[in-house]
Amino acid sequence: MTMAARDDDRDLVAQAVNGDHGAFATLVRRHEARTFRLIHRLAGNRADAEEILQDTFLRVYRKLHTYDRRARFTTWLYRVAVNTARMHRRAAGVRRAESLESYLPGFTRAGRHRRIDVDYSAAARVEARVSASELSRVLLQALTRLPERYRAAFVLRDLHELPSREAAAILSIDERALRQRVHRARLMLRGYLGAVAGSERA
Amino acid sequence: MIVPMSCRETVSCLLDHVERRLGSTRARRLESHLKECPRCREFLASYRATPRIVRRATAVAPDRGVRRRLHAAIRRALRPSGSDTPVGPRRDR
Repeated sequence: MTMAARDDDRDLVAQAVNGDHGAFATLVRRHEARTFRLIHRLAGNRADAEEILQDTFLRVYRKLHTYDRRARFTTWLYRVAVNTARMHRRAAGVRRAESLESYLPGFTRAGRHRRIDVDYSAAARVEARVSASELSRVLLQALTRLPERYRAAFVLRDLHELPSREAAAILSIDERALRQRVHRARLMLRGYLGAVAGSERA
Repeated sequence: MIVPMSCRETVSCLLDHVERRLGSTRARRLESHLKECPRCREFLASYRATPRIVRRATAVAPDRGVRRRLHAAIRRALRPSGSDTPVGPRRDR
């Protein structure tokens, strides 16, 4: 986002705090698509994503006066989105699907890959083996099977391509921890893609 | 003389490797392992491809209905009718 757009966000927030509903609607329109994509990836399905999206923007509106202009508006907005998604999950008592941790790579005591009978690169070609709609379905599901702290880190940094510094700020963790979580999530998803491609098995 | 990394150590460094953040000694040890280990080269290829594949497969845009209902919900909250308590950003802080 350009500097001007960022300044614009701050101005819109200031106007909305002063009761300008149109300014708030503009702010929402500007960010709704990206925020929805983010929430959809965290929630795993459209119906929950829609509900969380509404809650997020209503919470943002109620808490606008607490927004600190020194931070980017999106840093704050995405933090509210991540927290709202987390609260929904807890409230819904989402039963834990089997975690993707079993797809982490295994090593021998000497530190070599345990499996040598598989093609580890097949995961990179999964799109040629599975239809786009099937891949979309299983991967949205897979994201929800990442342990929660890995999921948000991976979604923000690797899927929304935010800089590590910003993703870390959203999650209130340091950059090192953020990168570690992103790495672990990637390892799990890589292994999972290998299984989906039919080459690796957990 | 460079001591090559093990597979385990190589895998643990992959994020730093693909983003060129490894110090020179570790980078050389990792490169030297990759030269000898086809498994780790394959692993690296799929590790690198993973974000792009997942990004493409999970990008879902909100349809018009989602947007319309979002703005309707916001309007309801901004202009409460009748006896509802007005909801708005507080400024008492």
